[in-house]
Amino acid sequence: MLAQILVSGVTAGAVYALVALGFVVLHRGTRVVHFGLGDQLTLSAYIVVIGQVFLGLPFAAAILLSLLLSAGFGVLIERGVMRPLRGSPLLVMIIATLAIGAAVREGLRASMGPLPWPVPFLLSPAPFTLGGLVLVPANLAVVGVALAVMLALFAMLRWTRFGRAIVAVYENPTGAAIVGISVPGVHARLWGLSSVLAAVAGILMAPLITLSPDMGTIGIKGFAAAILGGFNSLPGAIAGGFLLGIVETGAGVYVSTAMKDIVSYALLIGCVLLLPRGLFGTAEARKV
Amino acid sequence: MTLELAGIEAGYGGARVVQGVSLAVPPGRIVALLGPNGAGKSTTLRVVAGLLRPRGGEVRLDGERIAGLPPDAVLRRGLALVPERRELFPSLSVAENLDLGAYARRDRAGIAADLEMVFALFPRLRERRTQPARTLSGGEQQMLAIARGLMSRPRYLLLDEPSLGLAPLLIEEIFRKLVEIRAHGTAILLVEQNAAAALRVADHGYVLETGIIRLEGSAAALAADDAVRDAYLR
Repeated sequence: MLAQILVSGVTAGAVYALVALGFVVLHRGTRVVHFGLGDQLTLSAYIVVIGQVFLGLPFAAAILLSLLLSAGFGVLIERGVMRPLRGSPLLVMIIATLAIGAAVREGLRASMGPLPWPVPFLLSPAPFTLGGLVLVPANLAVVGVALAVMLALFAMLRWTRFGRAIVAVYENPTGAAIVGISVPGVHARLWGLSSVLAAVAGILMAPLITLSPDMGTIGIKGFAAAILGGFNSLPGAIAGGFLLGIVETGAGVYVSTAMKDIVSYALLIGCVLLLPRGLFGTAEARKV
Repeated sequence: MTLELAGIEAGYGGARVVQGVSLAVPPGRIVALLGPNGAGKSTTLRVVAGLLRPRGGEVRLDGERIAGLPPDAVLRRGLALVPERRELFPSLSVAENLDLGAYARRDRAGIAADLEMVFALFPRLRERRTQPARTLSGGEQQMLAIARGLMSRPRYLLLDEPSLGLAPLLIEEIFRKLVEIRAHGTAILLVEQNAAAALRVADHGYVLETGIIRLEGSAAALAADDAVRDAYLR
């Protein structure tokens, strides 16, 4: 039973981890908590449907289109909203992200209707049994893709020029500027990167739940996972995501399915009260 | 081929810290900008490096106006800042810090040669190349900050208070390195409170007080000047 919970929990956990990474990747470099991230995730899933149903694109092309547009949308938010707000209080920027999220959500409700749309699975949703465990190919695909994206993210940060500039800004923005890195340029990249991570999560999650304008509420799960991970650690965000997915599934099995969502909020509140640095966060030296 | 400041005015909020500073750094020379704490020395350097937009005046590099350019654009024109707070990448290794110092360059062979050059200049950094920058001593961090600045192969190094918080012997060592750096063809604009140490290595000097240049002259003349001796050399 425990093994089954682990297997089932990692599917949701992988998606939460991607969303949590989206929050942390952006926040570490810009200090902005993007409360519209969940709605961007919904938008990306809708773009896949629009690409397939209305433009007649093949599935893969629709996904590519969605990822590209999502990255572009992220960069656009930075250039069009965040950059003009530079110098204003952080709270103003965070409220702007809430407004962006609401605009996306209500825009989708107005244009695509409030009813759910079907989204194709990556692999068959028909379960099979292996060694006493019930496995679903579609869910395994979710976990596989999520892990591949995480590995790609870490490889990018470690070995590419693009990634090294991001790490430098994470470490010390002033230091980055004086070695010739354009800090506003890195901020734009981070918005794009965060949006792509959310897009992948949205495209993976949409077939498993239902694609409606309110799918963005799983953004809150990702947020809770990021808080669990300390909000400034990328490995912490991943661990927080998987932990939340597994705990939630366990609560669904041992308590009741209605308890599943309550668990995330309870963990979120408990973590903020008892472990404000999360499970993996480190103390942060702030400049005065 | 000169770095020139003409009538620079700058400040933060309502405070006017720099009130019309003009000075020149010829290529291949060390020019010291001296003065007490709060005189506006660091603010002047921040303006030159593009970290602070001046309220008036001009910074010219070989005749091109560069005041107000973002710091990455200033660096690409051959000016590297070594700030007072050092601004290293604390959890990255010494080697990674140096590597990022060369971020704006693409010439792999030149970068490798310059890495050898800075390791020859500061052998301690070679020994510590795999250590995170935050584990270095204050003196080693200063060496790393200077070495990281040199990795961009600047024509002008803007050095802010390299002696700050270091023991006298270490200060001597760092300043001897400045003479070596000048021998490589890099000019240095050296901001210092430690006027004695600075004037021993500088070619020319300016004394800044409350945002205004009070005195200027060759390093030898300033070191012999009674007013400078009384105020800064004890």
